[in-house]
Amino acid sequence: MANFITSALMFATLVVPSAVKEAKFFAPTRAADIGSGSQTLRLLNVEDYIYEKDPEDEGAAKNLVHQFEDYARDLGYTNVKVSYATTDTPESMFNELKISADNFDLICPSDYMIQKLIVNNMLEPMNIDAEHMPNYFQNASSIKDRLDAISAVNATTKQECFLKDYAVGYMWGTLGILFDPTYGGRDAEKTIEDMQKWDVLWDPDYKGISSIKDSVRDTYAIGLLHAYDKEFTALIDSYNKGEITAEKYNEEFSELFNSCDDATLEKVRKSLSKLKGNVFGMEVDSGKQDIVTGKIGINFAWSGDAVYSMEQAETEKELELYYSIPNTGSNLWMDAWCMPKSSQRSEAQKELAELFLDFLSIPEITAQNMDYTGYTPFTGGNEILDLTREWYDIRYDEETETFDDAIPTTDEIAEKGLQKVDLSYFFAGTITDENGVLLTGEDEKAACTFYTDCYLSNATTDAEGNITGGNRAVGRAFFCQFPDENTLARCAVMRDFGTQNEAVLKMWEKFKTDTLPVWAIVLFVVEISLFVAFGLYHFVGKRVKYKLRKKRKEEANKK
Amino acid sequence: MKSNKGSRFQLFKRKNLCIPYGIFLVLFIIVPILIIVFYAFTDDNGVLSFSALTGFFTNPSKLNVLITSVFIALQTTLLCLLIGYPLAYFLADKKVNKNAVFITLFIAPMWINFVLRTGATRDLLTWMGINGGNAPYFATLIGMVQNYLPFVILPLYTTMLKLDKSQLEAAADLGANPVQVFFKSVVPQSIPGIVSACTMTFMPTMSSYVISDTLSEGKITLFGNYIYLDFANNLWHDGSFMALIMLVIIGISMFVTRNSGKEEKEGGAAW
Repeated sequence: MANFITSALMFATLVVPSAVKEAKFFAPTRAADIGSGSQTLRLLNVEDYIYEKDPEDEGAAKNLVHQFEDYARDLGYTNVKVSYATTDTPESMFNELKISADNFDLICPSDYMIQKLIVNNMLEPMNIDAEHMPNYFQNASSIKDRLDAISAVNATTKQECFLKDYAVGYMWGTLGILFDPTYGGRDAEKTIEDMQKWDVLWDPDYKGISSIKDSVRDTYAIGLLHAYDKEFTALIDSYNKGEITAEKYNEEFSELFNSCDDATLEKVRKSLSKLKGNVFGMEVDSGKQDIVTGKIGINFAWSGDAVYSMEQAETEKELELYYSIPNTGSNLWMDAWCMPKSSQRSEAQKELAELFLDFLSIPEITAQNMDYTGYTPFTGGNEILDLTREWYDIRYDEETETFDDAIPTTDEIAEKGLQKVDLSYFFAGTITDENGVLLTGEDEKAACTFYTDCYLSNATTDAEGNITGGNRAVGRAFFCQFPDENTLARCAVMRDFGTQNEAVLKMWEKFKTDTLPVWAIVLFVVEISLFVAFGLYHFVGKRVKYKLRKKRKEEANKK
Repeated sequence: MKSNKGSRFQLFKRKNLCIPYGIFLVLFIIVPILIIVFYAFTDDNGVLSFSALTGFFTNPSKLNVLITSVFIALQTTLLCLLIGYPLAYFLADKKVNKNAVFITLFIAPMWINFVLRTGATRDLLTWMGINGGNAPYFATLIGMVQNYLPFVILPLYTTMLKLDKSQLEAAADLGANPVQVFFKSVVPQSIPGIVSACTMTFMPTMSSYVISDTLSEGKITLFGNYIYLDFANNLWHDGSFMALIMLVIIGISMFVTRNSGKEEKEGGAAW
């Protein structure tokens, strides 16, 4: 971890330039008539969410969009140009599309926004299949299945549409609590213990040191998890006892996690009002820096931001931050590319867009993105595996830049406190040997297993390093980027609020606009009455004086 | 010869010189206002609708935010006057403020972008132990006063420079004590400055967005924040209606200001 950035840069310079050529293996088939004339691919993404060249680093690979232009040229397209625009939130993407649907070929919103776009009949289905996107299908992790399963009913055609026809996964992650365990002289052991529950944000012991998100969906989620803590706890307990299966658990969790009827809204609003008095503040992007500078000690964070903060804290202040996905569960979010409906888009442009999405899933390219953004991609592959090993596996030797795939001895595991992390849910089916043959069985399992000293903190392990108990919720950057299957089971996708959207917003507005505190009301009333009194005195008094003077004058005249 | 000369400068006739601004006015002020009005009174299908209007007056959170905004704006204006008025009075004294160095010092913060300045204020206040976490109102007011103080000092300073000194002397000669001189002669003479200082502070504070958001850590929502919230959530009609309310309040305050200016028969408001 110490040489995180250096090694990451090295990787980018060494591996990446050769990427584009090798990737030709999986070049998708294309129609014969495309490739003539110039074409522009118009993308809309959120900021800082794609690999861009560091201008000070001469040897680094080109901006990812320029690499795509080269890639398309090598495939016989002449003169492909990419125009790349950014915005800040999925909501503003929706706004942009409302203003003009014909401006973009591909946009990259979050799961719930894709649902909303489908409901509003604003998305075009794409050819998302192994023929058109071989790299995506070859390298996809099991997270893709969770994206594909999301559906929404198009309000115009009344058809249920699944995201598998509309969206190509890009990045995913969780929501959690990023914290500094020793903040304000606290006991690290106790803090780590406390942070395994969402209730900690409401805990007066941590008053005024945490920040939450100034965005309705994320903060709604924690309000819900707090308001129904009893139900969520009962659910996870029965899962832990083995009374219900992982699927059943996740189904029920997801159902509860997505409740947004009026009674629930009121309950959530009440729990959020209490939260407001206990937190330092609400932010959308200052928090990831504030926790590094020490303004706050706890930040309700997106996993990618958490990785960024951990890295910054470590390099700037030698401070170890931790990330918790509390035991009662959290939100699993996914960002995916989709195509806005447009009457002006030609078939050729559509194919170009699909080619781009496939290009993003070439492991070398994905690795650049993962390295640059700190977020976790949808697709695996050898390069992603190598990068992950380089960052987190203790068997990677930073000096010689080699990886020793021997399994550590039990002595070594005990001595270094190593944990064995199995990420086959992510990498299975995407790893090949040096001859390009897919690994299977035991070989694959070995390749997807990592030995690390920085996954979960305070967890108990057996002699082989398997995590057997103790803390399952709090970990470091590795856990943040690649939560284990156990953790993913207790994360659910938060669906679009649908018809309740307006009610949720109303609730949020109510939460955001407090009535004035008592002292302010008193002050306000006093000031206003002073003004009125002064005004009366000024105008009425003047008139009275004027009348008096007039009277006196008249009297004087009479005399 | 004469007529030739005239035609050569035809382009620079007074009337024509207004054309660039005229175009600007239409494109960036009139048309946007019309768009706001259009959105404020239509629904998603572009049909005439008063739902935004009824929504505004029946939604307690919107009325709440209006009250909070007026409160913050009033406090800011009063505090700015309280600090700025004596200051302007002293600065207008040529003996104190030789070569106008001091006044430059006081308005210098205006030259730095206020977003940057607010960010720095946030760090400073947090270091001092005042932050959105423990005192959101106090932190916001400090930021507001810091930001709008120059807008109060400058118009007051220009009116103070024009104070009729002989009137003050006459008052003193006729037996008024210094306090009476101040309240009976200085204050009435500086009313135009006070009025323009108030308009320069009150309305911008109500609609300000960054300062309250940054310094109260998102805990205080002002009118400007609320409009942004509506637009960010695709509620264009509600947002437009609130913007319209803002425009109406500005209109009213301009009207009041102009009338009080007439009353004083003094065009001394430099701002």
